[in-house]
Amino acid sequence: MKNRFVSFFCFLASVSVFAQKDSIVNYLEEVYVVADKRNKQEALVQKRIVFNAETIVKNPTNFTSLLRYNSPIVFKDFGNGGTSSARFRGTSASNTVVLWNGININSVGSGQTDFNSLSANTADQIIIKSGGSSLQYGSGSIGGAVHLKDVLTFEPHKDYQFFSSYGSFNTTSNFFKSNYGGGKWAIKVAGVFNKSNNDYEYIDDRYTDEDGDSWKNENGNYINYGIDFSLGCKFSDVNKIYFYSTGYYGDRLFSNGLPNPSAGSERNEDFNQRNLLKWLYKFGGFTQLLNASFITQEYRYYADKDAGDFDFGKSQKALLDYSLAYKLSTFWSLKYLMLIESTHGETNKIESKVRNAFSYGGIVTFKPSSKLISTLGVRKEYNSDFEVPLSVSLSGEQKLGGCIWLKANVSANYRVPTYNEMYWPIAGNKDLIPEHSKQGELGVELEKYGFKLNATFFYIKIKDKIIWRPVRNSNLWTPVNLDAAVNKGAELFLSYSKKINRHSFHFSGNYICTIAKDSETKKQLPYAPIHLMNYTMEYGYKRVKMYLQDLYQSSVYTNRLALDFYSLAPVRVLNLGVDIAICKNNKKTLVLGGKVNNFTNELYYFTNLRPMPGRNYAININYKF
Amino acid sequence: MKTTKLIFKLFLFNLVLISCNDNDKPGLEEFLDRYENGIMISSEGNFGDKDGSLSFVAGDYSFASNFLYKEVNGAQLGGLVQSVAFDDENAYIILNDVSTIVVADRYTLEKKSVIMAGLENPRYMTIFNGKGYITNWGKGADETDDYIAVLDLASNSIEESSKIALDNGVERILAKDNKLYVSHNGGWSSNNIISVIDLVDNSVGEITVNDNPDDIFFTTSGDLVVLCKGKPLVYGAPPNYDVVEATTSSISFVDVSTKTVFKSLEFSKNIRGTIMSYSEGNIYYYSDNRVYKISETATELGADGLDVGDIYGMRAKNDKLYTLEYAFSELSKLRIIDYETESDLYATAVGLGASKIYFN
Repeated sequence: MKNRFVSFFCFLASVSVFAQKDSIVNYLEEVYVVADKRNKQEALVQKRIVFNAETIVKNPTNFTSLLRYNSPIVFKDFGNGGTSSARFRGTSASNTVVLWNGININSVGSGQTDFNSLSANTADQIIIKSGGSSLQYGSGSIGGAVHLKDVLTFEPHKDYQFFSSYGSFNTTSNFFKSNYGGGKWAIKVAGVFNKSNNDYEYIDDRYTDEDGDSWKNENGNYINYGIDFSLGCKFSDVNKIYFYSTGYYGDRLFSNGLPNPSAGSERNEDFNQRNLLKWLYKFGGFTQLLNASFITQEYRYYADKDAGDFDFGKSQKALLDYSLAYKLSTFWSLKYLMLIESTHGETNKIESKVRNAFSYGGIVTFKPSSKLISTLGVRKEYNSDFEVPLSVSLSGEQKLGGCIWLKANVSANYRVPTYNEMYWPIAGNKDLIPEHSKQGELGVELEKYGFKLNATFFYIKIKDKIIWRPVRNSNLWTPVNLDAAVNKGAELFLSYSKKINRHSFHFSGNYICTIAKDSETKKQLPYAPIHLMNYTMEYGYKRVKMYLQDLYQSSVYTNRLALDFYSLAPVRVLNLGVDIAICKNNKKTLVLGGKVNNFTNELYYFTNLRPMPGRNYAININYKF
Repeated sequence: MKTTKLIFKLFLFNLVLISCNDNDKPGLEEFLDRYENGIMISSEGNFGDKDGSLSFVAGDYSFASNFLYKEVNGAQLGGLVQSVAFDDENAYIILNDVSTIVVADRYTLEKKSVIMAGLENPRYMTIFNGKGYITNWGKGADETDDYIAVLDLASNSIEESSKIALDNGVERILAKDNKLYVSHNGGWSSNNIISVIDLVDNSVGEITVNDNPDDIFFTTSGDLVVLCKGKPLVYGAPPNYDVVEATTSSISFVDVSTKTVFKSLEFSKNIRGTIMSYSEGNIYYYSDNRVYKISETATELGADGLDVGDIYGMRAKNDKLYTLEYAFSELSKLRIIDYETESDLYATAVGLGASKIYFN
């Protein structure tokens, strides 16, 4: 009894959380919550969902739809394929961090990632991590993080995958991936190509053209392609070096939506290039990891696609990320972290600006038994532009009974003002200070009889939120540190798998309830649905597999007034798919698939008067060899 | 195992605690068959959010109602409501950001037609002789593509061939004696002219005034009054970004027969008049949170104004002042004030970004 008391005390007192950046995750077949690795060095509290190619091929057209049907993230996209931003737990789009192999790739200008301007189809793993983690990822990690990972393994293997899908509106999504391991070397080469006319019919019959016919999504075409190359070299078990490189080009037109689709004339181009060199070296109880990265991003925005002139934004970021871990004793381990970052950004409206940041931190992990692990971490950033608050994280995990883990975390996180917010001509506000948050979460994780359940309660208090506000007597909008908000709620993940003879059944789903209120108005924040639910249910018999995807999002307000007039109706979308394995053996799998998206032909919106597609179809081929 | 149970109880308890409650409803939900003998207010909404709206307040203030068009038609207007023009039967609701005009019954607000072709960044419309004349910016950044679109009110279609090209930054438009008068506020930049279009031969003349002419009216004696707002040169510090330096702002009087400015009441240096209304021989103008009233025969600007706070729209009629609070992140407030007694007659919340007042 005493022991239990002591360990429970330790648990409550425990601090922090720090998932290793290179944490090894089991390569599973479906969406799942990461099972705990009890041999881990650090407590891992935040809920994580991982998915891989098997999930990707169910929603291959864009990253937004992939995550919309498989994660607890809420998206706001300007019509299918349009600009798309992500929100965790009712926080803002710039509170969501996107990491590519551990490197933050949010836009320097907006502090956000447009989830329709990158492709995730060739990622080996996508990890969705709810909850703040500025300790690990720095600025912007208030709501949660989305990780894209290329996995290089040295065990001898040759895996190739080719996927191609074609469907309504002349939409095609294709990728090719090859992963090779040869003992000393590991290589990955992948390519992706997506294209669509995207001229779907607007099925909202309240808005029609002069003849009473439906409008189409005019000016919505897109094309994008990318290539990945990664190389790993294992000099020895303790000395490995990795190089990752990727390039992406996207060319989209932005549709105007209702009531006047014919007025659409905007076009946007994206050019992204990223490189990362990673060196892992272990010596005498120490493990050191060095990341050196260089990232360039550029967009070109054409208000009129037929005119030659465009607005542009360019950025280059160079960073050096170093960590050194040391196992002190059986119970204690330490880690030191350091990050040097130099960002250079400019647009045709903002002259070239350089921002330098240096941060360092430390993490202590205490693991007295296999049933308890706790971690405390602190990180301090020095930024050339402003004072940055301290990030602190304290977390603990305690095993209760045979199959239940209880997890708790408190942390302080932040988001620094972006280039646009600070430097946009006239409107930019150089007096801005970073947004900062304090959060706590308590979760239980349970795994038994094929069930996996993860329930997390969260509480986030965000202060000095940066909000763009109109300026009186002008057409100007300017960002100010204005609002405070409290977001609380519960996040639930459930999965279940069962096989009986040749029948297989699988379910995995998310539900999140978010009460996100402006501290002043006490009203629900814009674009924060109280309820979000999605699940995939799959039934397989022999070589045939059928699946249903279901998405429900409750009504959202489109501004802070929280009135019905300024709101979007609840969304319910159902997709139905079938996969038939034509050939399946140890070496090769050839699967033909078909899918009906939105088979009930429901009208739904994620932004006002920009309808999403009605019923539409796709067929695909998925060949692994 | 006791701890486990406790934790689970806490878990369930928490679920109950945060189970989600409903939002509050707006207060104004009264609707009529006909919206007449009252005040129609158009609210812009936010640019790009497509959430402009119409409100109505009964003339005797017995009720007020918001978001009317959606209530009547089950659909949204779907854009930034820049302005509304009326003829005897119809309201022509001009949506700037989506380049659309929605034609609805003036009193029931039932949708009749939607006009899109031939419009680009439409601003204001005046009706003359069975035609609607609509000022259009063209592309905002292009200073050479401004024009007047001509709408045939019988067929509700734009007559492409009648399009009248004009100098940069067209704004308000009035029709009188077979002529159109257009103020050039300057669009995204600045301008300083009034265009006069002779509808007999579509010839265009220009009258130079001070910078950024916006509101225009005809006095009872037939002169054109122009509010020149002055061009902002330097903005102050955040978060208010007040205009601290500007070119000369004035209320200018134009003799339309000679096309000359015969009187110009100029504001002090860097002081700007930004909204103007005209009623029965009197000019009401708004400058730095105050509304001043002067006679159209005045030779100098007013001395004592009425403090009305931060407003975005204003109209005067029979010495009653109707003001719309500047509000793009809140509902705007309509205030009706007796100008002489300075007493508040009525106030109510209208739409987001309310900007124009019409008597219906």
